[in-house]
Amino acid sequence: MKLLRAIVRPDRDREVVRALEDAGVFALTKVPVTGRGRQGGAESGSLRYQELAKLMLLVVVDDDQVDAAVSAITRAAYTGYPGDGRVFVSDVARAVRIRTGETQASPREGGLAR
Amino acid sequence: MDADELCEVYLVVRPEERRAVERALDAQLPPVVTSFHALGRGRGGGLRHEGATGWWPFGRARAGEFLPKVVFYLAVPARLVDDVVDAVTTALRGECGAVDHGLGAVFVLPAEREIPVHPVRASVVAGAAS
Repeated sequence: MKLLRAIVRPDRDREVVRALEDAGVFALTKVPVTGRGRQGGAESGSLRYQELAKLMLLVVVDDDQVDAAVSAITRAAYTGYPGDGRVFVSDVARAVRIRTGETQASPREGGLAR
Repeated sequence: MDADELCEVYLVVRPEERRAVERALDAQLPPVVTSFHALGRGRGGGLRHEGATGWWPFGRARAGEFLPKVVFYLAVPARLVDDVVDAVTTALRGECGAVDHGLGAVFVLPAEREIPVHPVRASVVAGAAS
């Protein structure tokens, strides 16, 4: 199980969500954030924006869905201009569905539980 | 996972259950937590109710709609993770009768380390957590 933290342009929201749906990934959490990348923000004329509006997607997927999900996000979020965002992939030790108590653990933690 | 290994914990819950989660966390941990508003949906692909329900009183909602959520983010030693998860899930399932969808999820990730910005504050927290 992996957690994908994808920082994308907020205006690519619908495209990214649709691409994830096409990849079979429906569960996700969206967080509006502000951020900047290597360019340190953006310049428009004499104005300099230190940080820009971004959307952070938190997506937990099974290991065999990681490549498809990352590919869906990167494809849908792509514009080719600086500021398209990043995707970070982390291991998830455990995931608990609160309603049922059903727990999924990584193999390191002993696999499925409860 | 070692008992002292640090874990990141994400709790994704309904906004109206913020207080229940805070109470559950307060009973287990020092009050060190970060929370933020978010929109979310589960593996079912979002809200599919047509019409008001007990917890969604606003009438029609489109299928696939994202709903407001609150995400709690905290870093705790592995030995405390079970207690935190149990306290939160028990509190929420108790309040809602464990029947509704959309109660949320808990994700636990191994964290490499936590570097406190304020060392005095951090030592207080570490002492209370142990």
